[in-house]
Amino acid sequence: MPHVTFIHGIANKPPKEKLLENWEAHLAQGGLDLATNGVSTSMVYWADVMYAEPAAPDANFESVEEGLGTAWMDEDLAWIDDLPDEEKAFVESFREKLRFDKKSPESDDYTPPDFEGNENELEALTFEAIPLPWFIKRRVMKALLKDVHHYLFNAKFSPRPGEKYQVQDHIRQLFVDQLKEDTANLEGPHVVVSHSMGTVISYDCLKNVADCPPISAYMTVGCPLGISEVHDNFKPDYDKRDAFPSDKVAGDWVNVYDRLDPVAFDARIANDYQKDGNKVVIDQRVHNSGKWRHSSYKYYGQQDLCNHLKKLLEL
Amino acid sequence: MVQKIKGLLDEIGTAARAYNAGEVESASDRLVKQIRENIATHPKGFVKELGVAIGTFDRQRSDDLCGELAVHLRTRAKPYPFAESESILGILRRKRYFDQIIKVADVLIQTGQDEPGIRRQYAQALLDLGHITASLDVLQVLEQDCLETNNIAELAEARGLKGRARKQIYMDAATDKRPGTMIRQQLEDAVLDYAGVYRKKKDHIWHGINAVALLERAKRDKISLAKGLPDATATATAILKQITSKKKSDLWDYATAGEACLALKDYSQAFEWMLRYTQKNKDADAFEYASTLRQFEEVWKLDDSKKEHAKILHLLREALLRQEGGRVEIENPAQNLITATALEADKQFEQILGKDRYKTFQWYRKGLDRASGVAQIRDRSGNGHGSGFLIRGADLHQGIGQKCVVVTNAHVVSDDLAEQNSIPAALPADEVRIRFEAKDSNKEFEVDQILFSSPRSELDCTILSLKSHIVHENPYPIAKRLPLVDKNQRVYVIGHPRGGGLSYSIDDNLLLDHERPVVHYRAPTEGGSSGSPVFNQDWDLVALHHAGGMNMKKLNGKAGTYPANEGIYFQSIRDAVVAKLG
Repeated sequence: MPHVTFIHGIANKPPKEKLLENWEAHLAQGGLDLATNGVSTSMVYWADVMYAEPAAPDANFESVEEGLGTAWMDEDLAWIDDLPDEEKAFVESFREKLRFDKKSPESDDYTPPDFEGNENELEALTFEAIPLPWFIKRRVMKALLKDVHHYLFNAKFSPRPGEKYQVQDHIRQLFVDQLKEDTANLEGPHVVVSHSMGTVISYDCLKNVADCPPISAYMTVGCPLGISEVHDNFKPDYDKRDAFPSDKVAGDWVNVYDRLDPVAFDARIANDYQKDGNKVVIDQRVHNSGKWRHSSYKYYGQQDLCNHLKKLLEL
Repeated sequence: MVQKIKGLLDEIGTAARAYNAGEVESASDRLVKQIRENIATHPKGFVKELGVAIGTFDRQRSDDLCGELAVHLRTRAKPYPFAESESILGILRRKRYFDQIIKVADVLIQTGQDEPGIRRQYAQALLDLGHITASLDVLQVLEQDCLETNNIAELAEARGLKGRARKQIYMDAATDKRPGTMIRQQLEDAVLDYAGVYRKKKDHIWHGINAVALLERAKRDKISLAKGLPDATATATAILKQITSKKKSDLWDYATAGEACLALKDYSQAFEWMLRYTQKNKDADAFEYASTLRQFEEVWKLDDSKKEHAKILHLLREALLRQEGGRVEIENPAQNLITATALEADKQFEQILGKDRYKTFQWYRKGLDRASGVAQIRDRSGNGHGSGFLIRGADLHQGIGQKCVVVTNAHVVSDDLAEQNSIPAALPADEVRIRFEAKDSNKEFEVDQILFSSPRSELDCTILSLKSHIVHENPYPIAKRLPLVDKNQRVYVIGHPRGGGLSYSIDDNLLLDHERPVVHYRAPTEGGSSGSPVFNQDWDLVALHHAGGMNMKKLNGKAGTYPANEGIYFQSIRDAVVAKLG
């Protein structure tokens, strides 16, 4: 049977099975019931590498705007102080790009006006335009900064007493092992669907890990791959004309984004991830509802996303 | 945990049958002893086991367990404990296993457990199975006993059931012709039964609302009832006030308030209450929605051709279909599809339902639309032989072209003499008449030729072209793959149960397993469903329904049998057609 391997994004997450169940349910709402169509699924779950214990199953990271303030903890950035110079330079540059140190125009609760109706004109998206309360934006960006740094620079991290990980090494292994397991009994297309920081991990593995199994097609959702600080720090370095993971992705790569998603900066990536000098990544814009546009649940409930995934799965 | 218990029950069922058949093995023997010991010494544990079997619609297991219970009861020195006896009957009732209730209650009463609560459930099951006179006899004795012992609570229940029995006598009679005096008297007595209980204790709103429904029905049927009966409008107003002043309402309050609004002719409020009643709710199940729907159709006579009525009926049918084990019988398919389609296009209706509920409504309407391609296969005399369905020829084989063809079972239609001489006997193609109830129930189609046939021992499929052209606006999409067997997937069978002519049913079934070319699902489908289309949850065609039984052999090398229906995977049929036609 065809298979989808999911990988989640930044911040803590509910337990693995619950997260997978939620993602499947939201895809079904968008018009793609994977089980009904005979598609099996699995989840690369790496939140437990970064967090002591899973978030409560009903934590509001994904769905309810009103709960965001309590769901997103305010990360302590003291870890930056001890970084070597090269990493510190990366963090400073990324911080500047994410602009979470920028002062709010008004109070910390200030939320920019609703962009419904004129968001089409927001080609030059700025951090200030993201319609989220300032203090939540800051928390989201801090989580992104930490996750991206720890992964790209293979930081040592201890989520629980007695457990220490080289973050990139360990998560790469999780991803590759899951793909190997999923490939074993495959009859049909195998698609990796990654959200948010999960796209950094999946892309890195598909591009840079030699024993990562090949897949049929690739979908990135609300991804930060367009941010120069991210794509400049994949190792080994490569030219954008050859950035498509051609050795491991046999078919299409569809990138789904919302212009007001604070994580999907520089959201269109076809230019940065070319295949033999050709722009082949399909950048699909969607319009998530409300203020929290990065929500995986909202993305998966999008009919356009589901239609692309159906095609990738040959349904 | 549930899986573990189910596994154990599987073994117990098999072991019990082996034990009773004298094929005693030591392991089986031990398992039977274990279950009998449970019944005797741990009645609560037995109730739990029965609950698991019934909760998973496992009829065979519940039969086995109830059989063991009966054996035990007949050997006891004392009556079985009341609390567990009542729970057992309650569990059986929840899934409408009325025949089992009667069997178990019979033995309970015979062996001394004749508390009013047990006799009431016995009478209720008799009533549910249509044995109205027998039920009334039991209820009359029960009523007398309750009066003598001053058991007020059970007295109210017994009188309410008497009302229900009499109501049913009237409803069965009041179809086309005006009922005679004796039947009309039953209606009046039913009102008296219900109203009497409500008058004494206003908490009994179930009795009150039934009195209202019957008073309104009498008005509609122009039947004069005795003077002194309560006023329907005043009673409905009082009931509505009672419910709205409650701090916490339950599911039944919503349904009752909806009925009260019907009596007050306030259909928009009735719709609002039914919206609440049919919201996703863990306390609701298919049987509750089915009984409310029946009340609205049979007693209140809501009419699908009236928009205000259709809104309420569709809401109930949609809720019923999305419940596990739900079954919707549609008596006027064409009218139903028209009103559901109009509602789907109604922006105001969409707004009222809200985004998620509107999506489920769209899903339900799609199901109604699928019914438009379902055929009834009849003989020249008009007797139903089975079902069939339309499919675009090119979806089977390019050579057939865009014209629509009918797919059915070879055991329903075949020119092969072996099929015609088997039981059930297939009809020869030239004797077949085909009707599409959801398109035009008056038009009949004849068969032009059989394009493909595979005997019942293989794919049990016949594909027919028709002599005259038929339009099928929305051809069935064919699922490219079968659903996962994850214990959550359901399939839907649309057919003409019991060979009936003027209705069809949409049955919800749990997918059990599949192994090319067959698909197994647990189902309430009845005879006459042979040849029906089987859809997945997206309403894509997955199989052709062809058989069912209590002891179907399990698939994929698994040992044993289970009660299941069987369909033929449609992709296997398509492959066979392509192989034959080239």
